[in-house]
Amino acid sequence: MSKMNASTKAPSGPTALSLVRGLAFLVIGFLAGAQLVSMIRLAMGLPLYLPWNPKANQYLFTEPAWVLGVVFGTVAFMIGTRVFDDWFRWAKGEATPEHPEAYQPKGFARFLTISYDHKVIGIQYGLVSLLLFLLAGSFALTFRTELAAPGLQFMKEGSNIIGMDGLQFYNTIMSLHGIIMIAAMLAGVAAMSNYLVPLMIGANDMAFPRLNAFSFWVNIPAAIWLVLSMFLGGFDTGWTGYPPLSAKAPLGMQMYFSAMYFVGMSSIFGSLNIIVTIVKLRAKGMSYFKMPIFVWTAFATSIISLTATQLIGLSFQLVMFERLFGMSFFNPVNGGDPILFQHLFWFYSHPAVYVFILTGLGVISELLPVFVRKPLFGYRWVALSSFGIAIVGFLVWAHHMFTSGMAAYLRVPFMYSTLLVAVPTGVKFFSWVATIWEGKMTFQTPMLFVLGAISIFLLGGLSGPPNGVVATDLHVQDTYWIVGHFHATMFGGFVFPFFAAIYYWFPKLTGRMYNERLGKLHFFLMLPAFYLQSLGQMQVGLLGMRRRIADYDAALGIDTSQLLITIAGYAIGIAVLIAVYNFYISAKRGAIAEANPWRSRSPEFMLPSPIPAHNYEQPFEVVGEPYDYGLAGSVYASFKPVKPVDTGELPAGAQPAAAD
Amino acid sequence: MASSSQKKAKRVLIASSHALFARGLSSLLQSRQQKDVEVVGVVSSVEQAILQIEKLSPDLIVVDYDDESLNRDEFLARFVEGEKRLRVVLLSLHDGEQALVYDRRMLAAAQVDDWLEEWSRSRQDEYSMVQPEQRISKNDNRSDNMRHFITAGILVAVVTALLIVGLGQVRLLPVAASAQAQPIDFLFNLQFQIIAFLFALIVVSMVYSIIVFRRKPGDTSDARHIEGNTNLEVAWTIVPLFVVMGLAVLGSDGLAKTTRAEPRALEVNVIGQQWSWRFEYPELGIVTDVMRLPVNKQALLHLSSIDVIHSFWVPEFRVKQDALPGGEEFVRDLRVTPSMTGNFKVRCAELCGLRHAYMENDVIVMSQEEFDAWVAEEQGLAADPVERGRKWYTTYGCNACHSLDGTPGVGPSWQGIYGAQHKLADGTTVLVDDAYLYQSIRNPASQIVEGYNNLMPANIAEKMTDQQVDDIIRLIESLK
Amino acid sequence: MTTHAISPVEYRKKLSANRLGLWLFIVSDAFIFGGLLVSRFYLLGTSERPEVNQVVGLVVTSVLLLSSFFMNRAETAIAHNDRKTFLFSTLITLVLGTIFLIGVVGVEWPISHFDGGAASSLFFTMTGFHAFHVLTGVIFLLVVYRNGRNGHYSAEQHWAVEACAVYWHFVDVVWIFFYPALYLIGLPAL
Repeated sequence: MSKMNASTKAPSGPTALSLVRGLAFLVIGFLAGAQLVSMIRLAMGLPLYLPWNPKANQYLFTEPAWVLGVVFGTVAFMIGTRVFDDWFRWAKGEATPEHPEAYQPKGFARFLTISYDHKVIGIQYGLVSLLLFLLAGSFALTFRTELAAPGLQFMKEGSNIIGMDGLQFYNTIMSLHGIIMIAAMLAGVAAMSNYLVPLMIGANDMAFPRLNAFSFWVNIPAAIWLVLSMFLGGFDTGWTGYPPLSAKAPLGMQMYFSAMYFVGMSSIFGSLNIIVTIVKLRAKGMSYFKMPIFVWTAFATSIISLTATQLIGLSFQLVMFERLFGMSFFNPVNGGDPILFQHLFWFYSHPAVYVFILTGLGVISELLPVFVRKPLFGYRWVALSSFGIAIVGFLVWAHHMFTSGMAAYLRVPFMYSTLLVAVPTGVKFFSWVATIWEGKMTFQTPMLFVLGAISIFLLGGLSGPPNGVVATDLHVQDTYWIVGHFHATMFGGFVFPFFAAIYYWFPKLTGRMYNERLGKLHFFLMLPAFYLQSLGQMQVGLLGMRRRIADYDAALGIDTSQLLITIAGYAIGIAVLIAVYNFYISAKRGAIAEANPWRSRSPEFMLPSPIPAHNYEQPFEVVGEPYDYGLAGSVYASFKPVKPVDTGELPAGAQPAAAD
Repeated sequence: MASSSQKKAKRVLIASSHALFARGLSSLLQSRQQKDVEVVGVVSSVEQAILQIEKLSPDLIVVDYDDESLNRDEFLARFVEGEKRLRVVLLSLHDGEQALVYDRRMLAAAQVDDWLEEWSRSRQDEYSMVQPEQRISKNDNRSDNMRHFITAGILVAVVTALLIVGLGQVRLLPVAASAQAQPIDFLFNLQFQIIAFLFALIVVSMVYSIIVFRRKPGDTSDARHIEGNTNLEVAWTIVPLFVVMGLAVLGSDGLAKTTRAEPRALEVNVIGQQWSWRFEYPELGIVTDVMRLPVNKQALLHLSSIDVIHSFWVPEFRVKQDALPGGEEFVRDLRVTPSMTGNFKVRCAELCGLRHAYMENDVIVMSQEEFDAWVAEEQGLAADPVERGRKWYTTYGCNACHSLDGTPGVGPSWQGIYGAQHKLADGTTVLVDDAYLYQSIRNPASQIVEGYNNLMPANIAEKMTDQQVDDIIRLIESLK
Repeated sequence: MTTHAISPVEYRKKLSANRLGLWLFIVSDAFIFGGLLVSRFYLLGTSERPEVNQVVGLVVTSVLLLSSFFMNRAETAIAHNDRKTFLFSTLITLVLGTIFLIGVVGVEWPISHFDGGAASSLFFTMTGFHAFHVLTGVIFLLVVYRNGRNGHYSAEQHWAVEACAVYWHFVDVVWIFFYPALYLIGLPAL
C-alpha cells in the first residue's frame, strides 16, 4: 500500500550530502536552461553563443540564457537536495513518515545535508549567516582600505581587478557588501526564529518542517548567483538597483536580481511557517500575553516579511523584464516612470529594516530579565510595541524618496509617519531602562552584548530624526550620515543581539559552554570600535562625504576621520574573528554545560543540553507569567515529571534553588 | 547552589524563654544538620541576646516569635545595629509552617517597623518561606529610590550639557552659504540638542544602573518584583508623541521656508549626465560647465538628466534634489539663494555608474556686478572654432572620459588621433576624419574603438548644434 | 500533507494549521498582484488603458468564472462523498482553465502588438503573472484529479481538494480586479 520503506533507506556516498548533490544538479540544471534558450535562438536564426568579451558585456551565453539557466539551476539544486521528495510523493498520492530522520551524518556534516528538525535548520541558517557576514565584511574592509586616504590607491581607473575596471570593482563590491549583509541578517533572523520559537512555545517542531527545509536550502543557490555576479561584469547600482541605471548595467545585475528572488522566497515561506507555528502550536495555558517576548517579535517580524517581501521581488522582476523583453515600466522615454520603481522597492525595503531588527530587540527584552533578575517592565506594552513598529513601519517608505522628485506635498505626511515610529521604539527603550533599574545585574558576555546593543541602537535611532525631517534630510540624504545611521541601527538591532543570542543559547545548541574570556574580549574590542566607526561616519557625512564613492576630495578635510573609520572597521573584523574562533573551539572542546546556566525561567532551559531531537518528550503547561523573577513560588512552565530523575541535573520543570 | 561547603559549622543562638522550645529546637537542629550546625547558646531575654551576640558571634539566631516576654521589636531594633554578618529566623509554632528569615545586611534600622508590619500582614496571605529581600514593601526603599532618581537625574543633566558643549566644539556642518541653510541648520541644532538629551537620558541611566544595581557577590536572590506601571507607560508614550509631532510641525515650517519662491529668480537649467553637469541660462543664452551665481539672489534650478538619475548637491547650500531623465515631465525645481561669495563644488549625490565619485563641477558665487560682467563676456562667443571647441569639450562633458593630452581614460584620448588609422571593436579599420568623428559624436554606439567599452551615452550630443560638433572636430584636429 | 494514518484529533490540528498556512500564502501572493495594480494606475492613470481585444477578453473571463463554479461544485461534491460529481467537475475545471490559458497566451498575446511602451508592457506582464498562476492551478488540478481517480479523497479527508479550490478561487478573484483594470477602465492610447 504505502511505500514508506523507500524513504527510510539511508543514502550513501559523496552525494549523500544534500549540499553536494544539490550543487551537482545545479550545474546540470543551469546548463540545461542556458542551452534551452540557445536552442530557441538557433531556431530563430540567431547565433547560439556570444564570444567571451567582458568589455562588451558578453559572457558566452546571452542574458536570457543566463537568466533561464539561473532559474533551472536553482530548481535543479532544490530537487537535488531532496527537499521536494516528500511533496512529490504526496502529489503521487503516497504516504510519508512523520519524522524522516533516516540520514543523520555525524558531526559537522549534519549541517551540510537536509534535515527537517527546526534546531538543525536554525543552526544551518546561523552558520550561513556568519559565513555571509564574514564575506560581506571582507568586501567592506577591502574598500575601506581604499577609502582610508583620498585618491585612488589600488582601485585605479584603467586597472583590471577580476576583469573589472577599478571603479567598477568598487561599485560591485560595495553593492555586494550591502546585499550580502542584508542576506546575512535575514539568515540570522531566520536562525534565531527557527531555533527558538518552537522551543519557547512548547512545540516539538515548526508547523511545516519540510517547508522549513525548503526555506533554508533555497538560499544556497541564491548566494552562489550573487557571488557569481562579480565575475559577470558586476553591477554598479548599489543594492537598491534603481533604473534607469540598473536597466543598463552589466550581466551581473541580472544575477543579483535573480538571486534576490530566491532569497525573498526563503523569507516569505519562512515567515509563513513561523506565523502558523505561533498561532497553532502553543502549549496549553500559553495565551498570547504569556508567550516569551521573543515570540512576539518573531510574530511581528514574520507578518512584515510575509507580505512586504513580494514588492521587492516585483520591482526587480519588472526591471528584469525591461532588460529581457524591452519592456518599459521605469523608462521615461516610453511612458515609464523611474519614481514608480522607488515606490515599489521601498514599500518592501523600509519594513525590511524592521525585519532585521525586531527579533534582535526581542533578544534584548528576553535576556535582560534573566541577567537583572527582575521582570520585564511593562511586558504587554513591550509586546504590543513590536506590532506598533511593524504597522507604522508600513506607512513610512517614502522617507527614502524625499529628494527623488516625487510629488513635493507627499513629503510632509511621510515625515509625520516617520517620526511616529519613534514612539513605540521609545516604549522599548524606556522599558529596558526600567527593567534594569533597581535590578541585580551580572555581566556575562550575553548581557554585555545586550547592554552594548541598547546603547548602539539608541545612537542609530537618535540619528533618525534628521532623516525624517525633510528639510534636514535634504542635506544628509545619500551621505555618510545615512551610512552611519543604518550601520548603527543594524549593529544595535541585529549584530550585537545576534552575538548575544549565540552566546546565551550556546549551551543549548552545543551542550558546551563558550569561553567567557574570549567573549569579553570580543565585546570590549567591538563596542568602542563600533562607536568610533559610527561617529566618524556620521561626522564625515554631515561635512559633505557622499555615499557609494571610492574616492573623496581631500579638500573636505575628512582624511583623519576616514582613516579612523577604516581602523575601526579592522578592529571590528578582528573581534568577529575572535568570536568565530570562540564558537568553533568551544563547540569542539568547551566545558560541558549544565541545563540552565543562566537560571532562566524559559522552558527551553528545562531541557537537557544539547536539546534532544524532538524537544519536549512530555508537554508543559503554562501556569504563570514568563518574567516573574522576584516572585517567590511562581512557576512559568509546569512539567509533570514522568519518572524520578537522578542524573544530578535539574529534573525538567524544577525551579533552580535560589539561595546559596 | 547547594550550600557552599562551609568549613566551619554554623553557629546558632536560640532566643526563647520557653525551655521546652529551646531544647526541642536545639536537638532538632543538631540531629538534622549534624556537623553543619552548632547551637552555641540559649537566651531568654533581649539583653542576654545582645550580650551573647557580641560574645559568641553566632551566624544565625532563632527567635521564638510567640514568646511574649521577648520584646521582639526592641530586639530587632537593637539587633540591626550590629555590623557583623548575621541572620535571624522568626519562628512561630502557632501559625503553621510560617518562618521568616532576614539578613542584617539587608535591612536598615528605619525599615524594621515596616518590615514587621508587612510580615504580619503577609502571614494572613499565607506566604511561605518569604525572603525579605523579595518582599520588602514599596515604602521601604522609597528614600533610597528617590536618591537614585535624583542622582541619576542630575547626572543626565550634566552629561547632556557636556554633550551639547562637546558637539559645539566639533566640526559638524560645512559653512552655511545659502538662505535655505538657515532654517535647516536651525533644525539641525535643535535636533542635536534633543539627541544629546535622549542619549544621556538612556545611557546615563544604564551606566548608573550598571554601577549601582549590580548583584552583590554571594547574593543569588532575585530583585524586586516590579511588573510595570501603567501611568509611566502612558506618560512615556504620550510625551514622546507630542515631542515628535512638535518636531514634525517645526520640520514642515522649515521645509516651507526652504522652498519659498522669490519672484524673478535667476533661472538655470541644470543638466546631469554620466559624469558631469552642464548649466544653461535660458534667459541669457549661456551654456557653461561652471555654475556662476550672483550672491543674495535666488536661483531657480530646473534639474534634469539625459541618462540615469543624478542628484544636485552643494553641501554648503544644504538643499539637494534628484535630476531625472525623461524630458519636460520629469524636470524638477530647486531653489537656492547663495548668501556668501566663494568657490564651491556641486557633486552628484545619486549613484550614477562608474565615475559617480568624480561627477563634480565648480560653483562660483560672486557679486551681482561680477556676475553681470561675466554674462556680458559669455554672450560674446569666441571667433576661433578651436577655442569654442575647447568650451564645448567641458560644457558637454566630453572631458569626463576623453583627455586632450594622451592620458588614458574611459574613452580614447583625442591627442594625435586626427588623420590616424583606428582599429574598431568589430575588427575593421577606419580613417579618423571629419565624417568618422561626426558619426562618433552623433551615434556613439555605431563605432567602438577596440579595447574600449560602449559607455558613451547615445544622446550625449542631443542638444548640440552641428556647428558645435564641428567646433569639437576642429579642436581634435588641432591636437597633435 | 502526509496521507499516512493519523488520529482524527491530529488530523484536525494539521488541517487547521494547513488552512492558516494557505490563507497566509494567499495574502502574501495578493501583494504581488496589488503591486501590479498600483503600477498600472500609477503609470496610466484612469484615463488610459492598454489596447486589447474585448471579445477575447470577455470570452476568457467568462470561461474563468465558469471554471470557478465547477471548482466549487467539485469541492462540495467530495465533501458529501459524491465521487462521480467531484471527478467530473474537477475535470471540467481543468479543461476550462486550460481554455483560459490558450485564450490568453495562445490567442490574445499573438494578436496584441507589443510596442515597448508602458501600457503594452503592463498588459503582457499582468496577464502573464496571472496566467502563470492559472498554470500552476491547472497543474494542481491535474494532481487532484489523478489522485481523486485513485480514490484518495473522502468527505472526512480531502484537504488537497479544499486547498486547490481556495487557490483557484483566489486566482479568479485576481482576474476580477485585473479584467476591469486592463479592459474596461480608460481608453487605449492613440
